[in-house]
Amino acid sequence: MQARTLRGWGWVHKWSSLVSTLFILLLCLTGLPLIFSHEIEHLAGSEIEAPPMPAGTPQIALDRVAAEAVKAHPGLVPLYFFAEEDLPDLWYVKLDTRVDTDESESLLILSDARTGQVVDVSAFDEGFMSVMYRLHVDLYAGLAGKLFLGFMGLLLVVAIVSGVVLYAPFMRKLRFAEVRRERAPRTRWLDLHNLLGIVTLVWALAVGFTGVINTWADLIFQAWQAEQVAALQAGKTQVLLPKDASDVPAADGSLQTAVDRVLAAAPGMAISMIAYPGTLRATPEHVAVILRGDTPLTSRLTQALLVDPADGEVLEASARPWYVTALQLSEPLHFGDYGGLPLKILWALLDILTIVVLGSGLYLWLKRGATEVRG
Amino acid sequence: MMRIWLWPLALGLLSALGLLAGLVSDGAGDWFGWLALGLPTLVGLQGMWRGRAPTQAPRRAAAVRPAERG
Repeated sequence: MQARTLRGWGWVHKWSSLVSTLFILLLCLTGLPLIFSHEIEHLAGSEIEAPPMPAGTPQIALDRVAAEAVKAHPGLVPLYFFAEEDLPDLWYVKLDTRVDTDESESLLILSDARTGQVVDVSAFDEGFMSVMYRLHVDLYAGLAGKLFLGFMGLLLVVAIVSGVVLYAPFMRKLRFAEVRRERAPRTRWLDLHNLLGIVTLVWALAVGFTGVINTWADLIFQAWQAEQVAALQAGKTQVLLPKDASDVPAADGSLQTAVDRVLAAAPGMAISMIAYPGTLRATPEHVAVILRGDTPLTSRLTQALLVDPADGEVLEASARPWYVTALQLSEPLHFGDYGGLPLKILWALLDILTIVVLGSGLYLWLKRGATEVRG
Repeated sequence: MMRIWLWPLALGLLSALGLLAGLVSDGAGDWFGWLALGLPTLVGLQGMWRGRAPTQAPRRAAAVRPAERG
């Protein structure tokens, strides 16, 4: 490579790293406990469980769960129900002042699916983990904070790619993984920076770039919503269950019946999320029911069906577009939560190695010139 | 060229396969994922161990200090 080209890549590597390093360090540090949030909750005893009741206690209608939630939090309206695979008797219910807010001030509560009672959990959205989460996700600055961190993530990707280009010239006279520990500290750290950078390369690119995609989640869902509404208006929808289907309960305007009709139209699927009309995930007139399958892949790649609570028609407005697929695959690849505890431990170790790469990079910049002078 | 890129390429490919394996299959996929991501991690950790600061560096201290004073 020509010396001028090399200097150019060096410039790109230096500035993309310098601008983003402190934020990426923050992301690595706050991300570390977040990898284990499930385990930490378990150890801290703040794990959420449904109050004990006889096995097989039937669940009440969703409409009653919603009514109880609103009764407990007057002035708010329900936006979403979320189901957790391992908490079958609980619903997470998201409430806000309107259905079309940006949800930054929304309230997430837990409701007992059998009684509608709001389960008292000692402030599961406060405390250390919540601070870690907000610092990691949006710096307490909503969408602007997310997009800012996303931009820092893009700079990280640039830094990684330019770092790979610079790897070869630095390694010309070295064996792979050679660390010259008897030389000056800067040389030792340069070798470590190169080694750790190259072994974490693919993981850091994957986690970095999927993190960037996750920051676009709101925009991605907005785009999909627009696409679904457009498909509805153009009449380009696929009807999965007609209004007058005979072997399912007739629509009566209730949420429960609407959801039952969706489940009847999609056998073998389980509810992941229910979105009220007017929210980001639904359309102004339809309830959206997000369904998941039971294989590792289909439990991530969900299917969104729309149902009109007034007439009970179940539709698929538009098949999941590629950018939603990308987002849904980005979540596990960023969180590292798809391969049990061993994968989480590897995630943590690679995260720590990345911290060393960032720290050594900063050190190399601060001590720049030292090696050239002293040889 | 090949000498420089052989190991990085092998470890990178292994990492990529490891990242995807756990997504597409439980059980065998998870095991492969742990091994495939574990290897580059191990190489990195081992490098950190080999590259730890020398416990004593009398030669360097002697060589550098007079120069700095002067």
